Amino acid sequence: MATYTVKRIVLESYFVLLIAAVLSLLAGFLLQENLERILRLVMLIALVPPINDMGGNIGCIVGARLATALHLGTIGPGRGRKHLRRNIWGSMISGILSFGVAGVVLILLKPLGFPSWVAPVFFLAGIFQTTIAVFVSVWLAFIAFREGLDPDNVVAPIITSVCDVSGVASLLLAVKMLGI
Amino acid sequence: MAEMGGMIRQSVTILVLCALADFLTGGVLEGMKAKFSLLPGLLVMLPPLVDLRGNIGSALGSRLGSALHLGTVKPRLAMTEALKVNILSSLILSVIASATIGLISWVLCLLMDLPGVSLACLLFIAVFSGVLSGVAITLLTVLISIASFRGGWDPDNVTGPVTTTLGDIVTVLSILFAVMIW
Repeated sequence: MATYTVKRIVLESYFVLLIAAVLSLLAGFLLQENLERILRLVMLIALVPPINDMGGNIGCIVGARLATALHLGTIGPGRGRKHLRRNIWGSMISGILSFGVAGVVLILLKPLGFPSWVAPVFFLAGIFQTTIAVFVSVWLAFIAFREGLDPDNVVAPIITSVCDVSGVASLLLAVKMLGI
Repeated sequence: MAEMGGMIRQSVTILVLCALADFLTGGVLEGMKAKFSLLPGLLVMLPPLVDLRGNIGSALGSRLGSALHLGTVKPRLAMTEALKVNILSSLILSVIASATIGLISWVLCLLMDLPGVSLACLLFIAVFSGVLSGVAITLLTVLISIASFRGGWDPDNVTGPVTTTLGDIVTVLSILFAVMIW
């Protein structure tokens, strides 16, 4: 891994950040305008920020850990499969467990007016969101590294934007599957 | 490289703490954001500005995580060359990326015929709040990654979620402050 220079970090990050900002602007326009129509259940809208943020956070962790492993060389082309597998499974379990705990918190908040379907929907959507966050981050980290970019600069900004969209999609899917 | 048990324990702790902070501050932040509806252009640039702060912070944290593991940044509060480069880059990015978002938002407002907010106003709010929250989050990210590494926690599990969660709060407050000054 080359040593850090201001020029490299700024140039690489600027374009990634710009892509993320445009995605965020678009998501803001498309979803914000239609959110109330897409999610006809009011309580569902309250779940959008936490599921988006948790997905982005899981993706950031996966990206940061994989970037470190790629820089250290513990994972690379044709090596470190076991390490990679452990990373993926560990992240999946962490994500699903965290959504489970968050779901329990939502159950405890029931007296505040959360209907009883909120927790199961959040948990099921969380499983979808975790899966997307983990696998897209792994893919992004490998693509970035292969293209000679620093995955540390690439994965976090892109995955948070991706999760802003996939969070809403996961909630819709969960509502449909649970028939609410 | 932590074993899988440690990895899971650390990530779950951080993810749950950040989710709780999210639940707690969500309502307050939404209320503050509602104040911004007075300036339509500001509402356009709010989501990308908030995301930008988290993105710059978590990329910095991610780089520091790699550098701490590689040993190119030492877990001490000493201004080494590698640390200086990382901090300086984040601050430069805060300024130019915030300004770009201000510019894009202004163009979008023109295109969509939203009631005018001047370019100078949007640029001032974007850059001023960008610098203010940029300095705060950059310092916090450095402190958190060094502290977690010293405490035996993998910074890769900690910095991303913590900086994005704190970044949301700090950015909304800085934008509010910038609007008040303007």
